[in-house]
Amino acid sequence: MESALTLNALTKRFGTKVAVDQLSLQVPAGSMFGLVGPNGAGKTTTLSMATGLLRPDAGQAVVLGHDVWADPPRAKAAMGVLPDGLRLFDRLSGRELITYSGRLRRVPEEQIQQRCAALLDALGLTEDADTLVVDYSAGMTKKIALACALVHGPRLLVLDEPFEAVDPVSGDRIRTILRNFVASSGTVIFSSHVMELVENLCDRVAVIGDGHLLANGTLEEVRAGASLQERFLQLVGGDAGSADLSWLTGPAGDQRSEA
Amino acid sequence: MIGVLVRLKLTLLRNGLRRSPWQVVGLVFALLYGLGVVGSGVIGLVALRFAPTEIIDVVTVAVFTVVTIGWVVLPMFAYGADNTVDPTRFALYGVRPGALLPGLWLAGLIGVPGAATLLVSLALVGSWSVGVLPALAALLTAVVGTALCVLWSRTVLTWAGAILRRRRARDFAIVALMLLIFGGSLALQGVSRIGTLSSEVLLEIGQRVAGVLGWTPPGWIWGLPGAVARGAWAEAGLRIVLTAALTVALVLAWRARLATELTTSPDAGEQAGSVHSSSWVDRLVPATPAGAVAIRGFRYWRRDPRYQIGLVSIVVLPIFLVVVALINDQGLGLAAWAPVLIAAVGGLTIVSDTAYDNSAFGAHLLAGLSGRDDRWGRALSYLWILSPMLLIAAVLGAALTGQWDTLPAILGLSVCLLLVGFGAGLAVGAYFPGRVAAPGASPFAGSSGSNLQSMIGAGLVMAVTVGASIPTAVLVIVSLLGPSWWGWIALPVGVASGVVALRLGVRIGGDRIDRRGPELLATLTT
Repeated sequence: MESALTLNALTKRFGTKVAVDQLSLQVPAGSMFGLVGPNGAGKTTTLSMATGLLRPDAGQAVVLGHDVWADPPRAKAAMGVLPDGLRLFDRLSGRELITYSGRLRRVPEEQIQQRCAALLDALGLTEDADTLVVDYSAGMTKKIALACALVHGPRLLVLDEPFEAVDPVSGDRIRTILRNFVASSGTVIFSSHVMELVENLCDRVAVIGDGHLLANGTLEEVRAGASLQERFLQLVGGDAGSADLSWLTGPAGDQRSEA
Repeated sequence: MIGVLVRLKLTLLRNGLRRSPWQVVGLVFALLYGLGVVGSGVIGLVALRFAPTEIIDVVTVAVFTVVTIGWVVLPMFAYGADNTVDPTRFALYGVRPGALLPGLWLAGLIGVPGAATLLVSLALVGSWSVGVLPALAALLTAVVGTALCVLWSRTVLTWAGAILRRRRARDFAIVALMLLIFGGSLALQGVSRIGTLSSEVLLEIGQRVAGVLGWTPPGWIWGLPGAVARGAWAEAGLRIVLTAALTVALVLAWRARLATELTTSPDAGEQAGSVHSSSWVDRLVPATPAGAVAIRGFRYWRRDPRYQIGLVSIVVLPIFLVVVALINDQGLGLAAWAPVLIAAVGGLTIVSDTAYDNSAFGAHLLAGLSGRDDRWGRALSYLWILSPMLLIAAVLGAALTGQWDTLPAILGLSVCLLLVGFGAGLAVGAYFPGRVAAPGASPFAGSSGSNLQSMIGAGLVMAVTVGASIPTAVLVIVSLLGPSWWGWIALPVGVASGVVALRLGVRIGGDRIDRRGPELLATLTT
């Protein structure tokens, strides 16, 4: 099974803190791969190193046979990336932003216009195509960023929190696009907090915690009979805490105000 | 409630300082500047006591009425800087408007401007210490006047809040402020000419101005000590009554508006306008990735207030200098050299162009855009914007001054400075992009606190620009001192050196981006 994305002992340190520690994993071609982990586990750091945004201290990232750091142009041409925490060029309209993304990647002009219209339609953004991105809602911003990642027809999609702040209807559209993408032999790796989503969509899952890989395999292997949510909490050690919140559910509510 | 709001303001101030050490530096500078202004203000005001009563009256009324107006106008441009000003943030807490008023007022008083205003206005007691009654009246005026400054500010700002929340109004306000600053500087230049007028004329003008200002609502209170000193008890009484009525009116207006604002969501949807997607300007650049970067540049020049300010500055600066020269009777001779000024500014502006992108620069990295394409694209957009301005300024300057014979030399020098400046700026900018205002923030916020990187970058650009322009400059000097046909040699030399420097700069800057792009992105994002 050919690997679309191979991460080999990726390591990143910020000062004394080790954010990602010798992380290795393989994303087989044609699979929908979910990357899950708590906040601060190193998901965004890992994906940034794999896409060329953050230089790793050690290790390799190989995309469809091309090393991201040794041969960046070829590796990046094959990938479409939705990064987390980066601004967009928001003084452009939605249509202009997708066009910009296509032109940067040398997509021929007629194809750009065609694909732009198709993507705007598929994501339900046609009405707002000529509005400046700075005036978009959080969900619209995610969708336009996804469109920018798709316009050049990549074979591998690397998406960091693609469903965050996205409403159910748009979320459904995105899921359909991703499923069709994988069905036509593309590969998707995305990170998320929402276990039900990952359980629904993905055929392979990796769990990251504290910069380490805690579990990796098909959905069934990682789940091991329980729900993904339970297994995840076991792996990362969920702790509900023992704070006393009885005043919250008192008989008539606690009358002591704090004005 | 008052204690809560005061503590909130103090916590916001303290946390603002914690975010970066540069904020503390900025605050120290603000304090020093404030102390300087307060100090000179106090000294000036106390010194006034030795002047005749009419002059004390004129000066204090004029100055403090303008200060009150400043309290109303200036915060509108810094909207969003002080969270206690935005009442919609309290919308979810179920407080009655009346309960919020005293606390919000006090929170407005706390801070450098409030303290400065209070201190300077207390110096009025010194100004009016010619008699016991005027001094007491001055004390009352100082306290009430400062209180009213804050009240004016809060009331008007609360009413203007609905407009200022809209992004487009804020964008427009920023450019308006820039033009206001230029206009103000011109006015000050004009005022300095007044020093040549005789003192009687000066006094008469002053009395008229102060008279008008003293009877506007902001000025009612500030005229009180003067009325007491003159023994005009009816006028004094009238001023007190008017001020009391004004205070009541402002409080009622503020409370009424606050009630509405407290039931408004801070993110209330606004009408977002739509834009044209293509434009004839796009055909000026090739259909390549570099061309795409240039097209994006064109859009940003048109739509981003931070760029608009730059544009306005570049256009207005030569005009400003020419007008100043005219006001000071220095003649138009310098107008012909305006293009050189425009050219010199070009390099310094392009150094921080990457910094304006902030973390959106990551899109270039992800797309695998080559560093040279990135640099060329930016150069193209700057070239297409600044070259026409340069040419127009050169031709206009020659036409206004009739100095057509120096035109080739001036053009040669200007083009050289422009292109070399771009080359230097693009190269240095890949190493030291500097720090500018974040997208969407007020452009004036970017320059708070000194930035070592920006200064190093600017210094390097200036050094390289001057150095590489020496051949052309020599030829220009020769053409000025000797036969002017040397100017015709300076022109091609200038263009040639400029083109060489630009290509070199693009290559150096582009290669740096290819090697250390992710590190550059990290610098831009912090």
